[in-house]
Amino acid sequence: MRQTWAILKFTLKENISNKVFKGFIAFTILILLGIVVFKSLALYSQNDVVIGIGQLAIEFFLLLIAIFASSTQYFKDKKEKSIYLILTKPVSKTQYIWGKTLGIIALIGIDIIIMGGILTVILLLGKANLTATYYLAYLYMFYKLAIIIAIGVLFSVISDSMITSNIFTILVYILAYGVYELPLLAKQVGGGALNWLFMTLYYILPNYYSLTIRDALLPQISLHVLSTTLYSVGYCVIIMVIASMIFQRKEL
Amino acid sequence: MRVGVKNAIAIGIAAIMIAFSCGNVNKQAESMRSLEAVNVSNGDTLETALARFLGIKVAACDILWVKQTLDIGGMSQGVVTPASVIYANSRQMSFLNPYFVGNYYFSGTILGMVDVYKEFDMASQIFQTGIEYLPTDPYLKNYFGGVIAYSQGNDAQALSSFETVALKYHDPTLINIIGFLYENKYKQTGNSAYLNQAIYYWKENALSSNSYYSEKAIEKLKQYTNYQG
Repeated sequence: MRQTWAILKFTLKENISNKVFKGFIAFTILILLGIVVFKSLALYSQNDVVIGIGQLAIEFFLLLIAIFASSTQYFKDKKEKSIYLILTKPVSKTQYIWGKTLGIIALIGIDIIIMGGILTVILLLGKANLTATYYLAYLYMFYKLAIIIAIGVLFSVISDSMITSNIFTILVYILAYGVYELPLLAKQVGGGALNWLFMTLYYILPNYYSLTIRDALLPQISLHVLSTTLYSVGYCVIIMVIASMIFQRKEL
Repeated sequence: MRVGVKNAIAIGIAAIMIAFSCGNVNKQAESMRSLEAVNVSNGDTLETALARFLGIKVAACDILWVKQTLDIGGMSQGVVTPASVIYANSRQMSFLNPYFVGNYYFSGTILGMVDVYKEFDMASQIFQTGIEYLPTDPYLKNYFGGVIAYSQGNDAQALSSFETVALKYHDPTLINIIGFLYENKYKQTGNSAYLNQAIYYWKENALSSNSYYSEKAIEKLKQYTNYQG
């Protein structure tokens, strides 16, 4: 546990001091401030425009950071040979994977708090009436990104290159949102391998549609926060266990 | 591959957590999906379909809304956006988010009332879609009724419908139209009571945060009164 915690802290510090990461954060904050311009351009529902575009901007840029950090971390450590240094210490491969993944998840959590905080301050200064759904959208965004980080780490362990790892992670993100369309697609293609593939994806992909409450058309939707939390944690754990099992067998 | 006892326990607990929560997670998704069963003619384009597929409906609708405001706002610079473009923007917004009421108020009123457009059929379709998805909205029917009355030359009925809305809902576009209708009545009858009513509404718009309508109102006030600002 102590070793996992140490790797988590190290990953967090390492990523925060990364220039690309700092650049992304600065750019996102600029975009958030730029969105205020939209407010003066939109009639009637000015604050809704800031909420809609602002939350999407936060999720988009953090998604880029999450995918980039998760699917390149292992390759980076290997290239810089720091992975050998870590694993020669009393740190198991499982602890390494869990520490790295949780470190990136913590990083994204901190980012959501900072950026969501900035957007919320902008909205409150504009006397916006913020609903519970608005605040929960950040929690759900965190769950979504945590799952994609776990998947990114899994792909980085499976893949031979950073590029394939990134592509697979992005693909999962896109498919996971359209998860309810997959049975329809399976029906369209009839029987055979494609049908089997679509149905398998339907059962194994995370349900991102349900987690995207920032895109809900009305705030009065039926929310199940506890179940969503259990679902997200459960999904992350399974992916991380699989990733660590594969990593155990991997020759460095 | 050896799974190991610890891993097996972790996977087992996680699987139970997912199985336990899956029903509610699906219910949550269903409550969101039920709102999306939209049937809006001319709104289903490649862009809107993609926006829905990628989970960016609301943000895409917001961006279209800013575009709509800019397209119509171009009139103040002498640039008249074709009615077909304003109509298409509105239909796409309805397809993305049929519960966004500002789209119906604004797009419908502009297409139905502004001199360069007067596209009553397009305006009617926009209002009808609005009423279909927001049947309990207190103002939509008055907007629609006003535009219909105006299209039939019944300015008194149009004014009555619009003033019902303006009393409770500050809409600079609508207030500008009410001022214009009263000014027209004054020009036709010479009755100064109508001009006073128009001045009342222009004064309201002169204080509006919307610079376009605020400037228009001040211009009118200077024309008819010794308005100093």
